[in-house]
Amino acid sequence: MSSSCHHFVPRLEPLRDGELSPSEVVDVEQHLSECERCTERLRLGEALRVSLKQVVHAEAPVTAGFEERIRLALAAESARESRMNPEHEAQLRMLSWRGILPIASAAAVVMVWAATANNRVGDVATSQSHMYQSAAPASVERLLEDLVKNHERSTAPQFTEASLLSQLEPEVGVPVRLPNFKQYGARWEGVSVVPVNNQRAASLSYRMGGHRLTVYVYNASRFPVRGALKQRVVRDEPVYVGSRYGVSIAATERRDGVGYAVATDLNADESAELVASIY
Amino acid sequence: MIRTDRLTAKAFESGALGELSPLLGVATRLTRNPADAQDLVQDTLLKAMRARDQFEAGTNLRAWLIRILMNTFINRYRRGGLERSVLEGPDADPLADGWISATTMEAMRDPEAQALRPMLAAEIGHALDELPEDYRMAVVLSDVEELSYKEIAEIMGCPIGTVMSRLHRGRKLLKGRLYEHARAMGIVGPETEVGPVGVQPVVELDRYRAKKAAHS
Repeated sequence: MSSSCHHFVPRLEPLRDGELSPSEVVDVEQHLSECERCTERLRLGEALRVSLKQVVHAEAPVTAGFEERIRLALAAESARESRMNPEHEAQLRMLSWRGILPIASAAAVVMVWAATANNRVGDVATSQSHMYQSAAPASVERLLEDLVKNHERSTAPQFTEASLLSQLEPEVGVPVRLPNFKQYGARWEGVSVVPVNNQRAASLSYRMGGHRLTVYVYNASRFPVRGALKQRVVRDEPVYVGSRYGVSIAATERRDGVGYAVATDLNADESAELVASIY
Repeated sequence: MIRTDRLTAKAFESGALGELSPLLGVATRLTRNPADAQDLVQDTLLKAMRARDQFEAGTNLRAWLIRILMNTFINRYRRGGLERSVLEGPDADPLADGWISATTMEAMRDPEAQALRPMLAAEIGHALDELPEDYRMAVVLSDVEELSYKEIAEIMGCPIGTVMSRLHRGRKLLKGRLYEHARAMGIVGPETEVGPVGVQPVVELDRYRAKKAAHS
């Protein structure tokens, strides 16, 4: 070790950290070209840095579930903010509830939803879904009622561009894809996000001849609609059917946790057929 | 009317989602528990979203978010105040790793990967978690998250000189641990030079193994 190492060793880490002035960099690099040991110190420090990065990132991976949880939490916060801040009222109107519910009750719905989203989704959502599944049929009935009422209201859609569907995903909490009903001659007319019993669902409107269809896309673990409907099997897949207030409802849950429910004035068999085709 | 002088919720959200990995990395090192780390990141981002008016455009979003994360951790997840290290102050011995020879340092590296030898890299997680918290944070914020000394000083609420000293000491302790490990694994031989006071380069194998067993 040359005696000048005493001068340069304290500058090696700042050099590696990019914290030296250009003139100091020149001095230290001059020394490095002459000193094997300081060069090796620098290399070991760099190796330590590379390994540290690998270890820290490997031990704290950002999973899709975690990212989704954060998205939901931020979307809920954003909705809460829109409600609290009148300057954002214009933005608020562009959101989901136009003409569907009075703003005040819609806001109440969002607050409950936000409280839910603040919980730990990974662990707590599972227990919540159990909770909902064993919940009193009354709340499930209310859920079905909301689906039917929204279908009957038939309000103007929020978007009519299929390319904008993905923008609704943070609000709905699951991927929103357009079921293809072309084989039945159904035409898609637009989408809105609607509050349904403390949750939010995407509401897709279709027209099929003289009939209107509303297809809801939602997080199946939070919409226990199947509990109030009768199971039947269509093309080897379970679907859940029933009717309320003269509107038939058929629902299905896909393996990825996305639920679909169709509300129509068609009969139960036709509704079941439609929803089964979503697989 | 929507104000244009503030970061919109959407812009904040996309910026924040891009920083999830560094935030979770730092949170995991702070809490040493994956579930707590996830909670800490969520709380941090909600706080940051509410306070996004205070973010100065053009500055480092990552550093700002980590500062909030650190404050949230201190206020909520750790009882009492900051446990300041007793080892504060300027380093009396800047050449403290002088006892490791160039040959030994070279043997600890994997020249192909430009990282540590895999057997040593596997030990880093433990070595890092055993560092005093201030050292651990300084090392993670600099080496892993690539923040500047100034940004780290703002996050940790201390002068830049203290950041430098914490970094140096933290790295030195890490290297000492890894050297011990390399000795125990037979990767490097004993040093001929006299070891520094405070770091024991001669490893008692039984003690080392007992420590390993306690970890696993």
